[in-house]
Amino acid sequence: MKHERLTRRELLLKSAALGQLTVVPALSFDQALWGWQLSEQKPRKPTAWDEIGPFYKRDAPKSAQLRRPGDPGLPVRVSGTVFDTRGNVLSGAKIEIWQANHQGLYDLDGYGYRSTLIADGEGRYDFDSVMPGHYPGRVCQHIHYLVSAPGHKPLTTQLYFATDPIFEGDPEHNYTRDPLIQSSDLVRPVTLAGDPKEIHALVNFEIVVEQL
Amino acid sequence: MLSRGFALMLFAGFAAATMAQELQGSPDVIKLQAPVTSVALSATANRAAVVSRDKNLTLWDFAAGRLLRTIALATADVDVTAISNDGRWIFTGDHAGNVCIWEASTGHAQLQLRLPHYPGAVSFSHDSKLIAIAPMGDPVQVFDVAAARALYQTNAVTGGTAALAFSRDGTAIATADADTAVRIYDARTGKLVAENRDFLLEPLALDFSSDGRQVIAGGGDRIVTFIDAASGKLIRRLEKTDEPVSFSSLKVSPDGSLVAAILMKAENMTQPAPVVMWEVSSGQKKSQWMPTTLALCMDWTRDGRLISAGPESDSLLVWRVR
Repeated sequence: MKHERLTRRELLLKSAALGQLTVVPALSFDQALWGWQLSEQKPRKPTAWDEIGPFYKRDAPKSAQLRRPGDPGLPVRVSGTVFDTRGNVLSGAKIEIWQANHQGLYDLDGYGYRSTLIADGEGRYDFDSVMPGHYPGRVCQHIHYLVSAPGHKPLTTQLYFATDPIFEGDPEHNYTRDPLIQSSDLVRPVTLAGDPKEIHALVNFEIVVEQL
Repeated sequence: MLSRGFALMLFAGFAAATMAQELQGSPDVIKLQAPVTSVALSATANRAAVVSRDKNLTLWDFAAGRLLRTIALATADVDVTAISNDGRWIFTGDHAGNVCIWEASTGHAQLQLRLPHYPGAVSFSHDSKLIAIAPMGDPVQVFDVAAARALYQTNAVTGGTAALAFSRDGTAIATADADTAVRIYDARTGKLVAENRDFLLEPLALDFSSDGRQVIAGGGDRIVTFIDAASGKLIRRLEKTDEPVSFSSLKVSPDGSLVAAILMKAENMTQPAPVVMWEVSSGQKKSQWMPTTLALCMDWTRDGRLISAGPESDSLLVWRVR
């Protein structure tokens, strides 16, 4: 039998997972809150890898507003949280995103539809953009991600949209129509919201990165 | 009466067409049983290795138009094919990460591997003894081909490697990496020697100068960039190309006087894009030729002729570009 030496944190995590950790009244409020948050944590599967693609550009501006006023295309707001595989949120994680415009064209000369985001204190990020068009030669609409956080493996992946016609409403079965999609988990539901005259799409994409 | 500008345009068009005819001639046509999915050339050995949708790897003497060997593959979903300079070894790597090095004369599998991800770039050393394989997103792995033995792998870089090249003497490997760096490694040990971080967009193609002292690279920045191989420092840049293109591959001529690049259209990589040649010493563009179909690969012959190949329905077209 393999014996593992557990860190205090791992021991607490395992205890919480097994229901063996009880917060007693003698603990301070902060300790109790921490214990409750601990019990809420759960191991998470790492986000599936996807290739970085040929159009990554470093040093993109730190702006969550990729869509400029008057930009054509369906407005889309993407949001999510960055976790590690133990379920801890990763505040300060760097999320670089880039995508084609609504016509499927990448901006190589400037930083159109490119951004560097930093996850907030609760690991959350969001940005406003437009639904990317179909890039010729690729099957699906997609947004590229490069996520990095100290002590964790950098993750390259891509976000896909369940509304993409290629999936014919069944991304669970049809995601392999794009040979670059490694997991149906990368195909996210799209919620349409807003006034009928100003419809926008909402997409949630949670990121889980692995520890080094 | 023609305006001066229009007359100049006509003349330029005529000159370009004449140059294209001189450069290209008519291509050799290799008839296949199914459309091409991947192809590699060894101009030195007059060999073309072609994977087609009927799951066959065929080896051709492209100069004679003669089929030399057919190898049945498990899949036609081959992302990368490469052939050694001497024509002895053929590499195929499929989308599931299965890679194989075939001995061309027998059709036997010399080395078979399962990579963590499908291959993104592959290069044989010029003496055909080593092969460097870059699985997409992962470190470069280097093998002794004849011994079928792994030698080392490089350190991981974010996003992996898009292009690889050995120096002529086999002592160095250069990588064009997705994190926008160009790195130079000692080919005997895999230790990092130098890196260059002057690119904003990912470099996608590179080669060493004939003396091995410089790495010449190009990518989304649309600029041919010369880098000192020992220090990684930027030496010079050629003029940025006006067209919205990127680089698909780049090769220096045997005498080191010319560098050729297959470009790719940034707005649609599946469309034909020009093959361009620059003079290394002056940086001047010497020729630009537009193939009728997408050029997938190119190679220089020892006497300085440039051969390129691309698919057209159930055929492979082989052009003598220069």
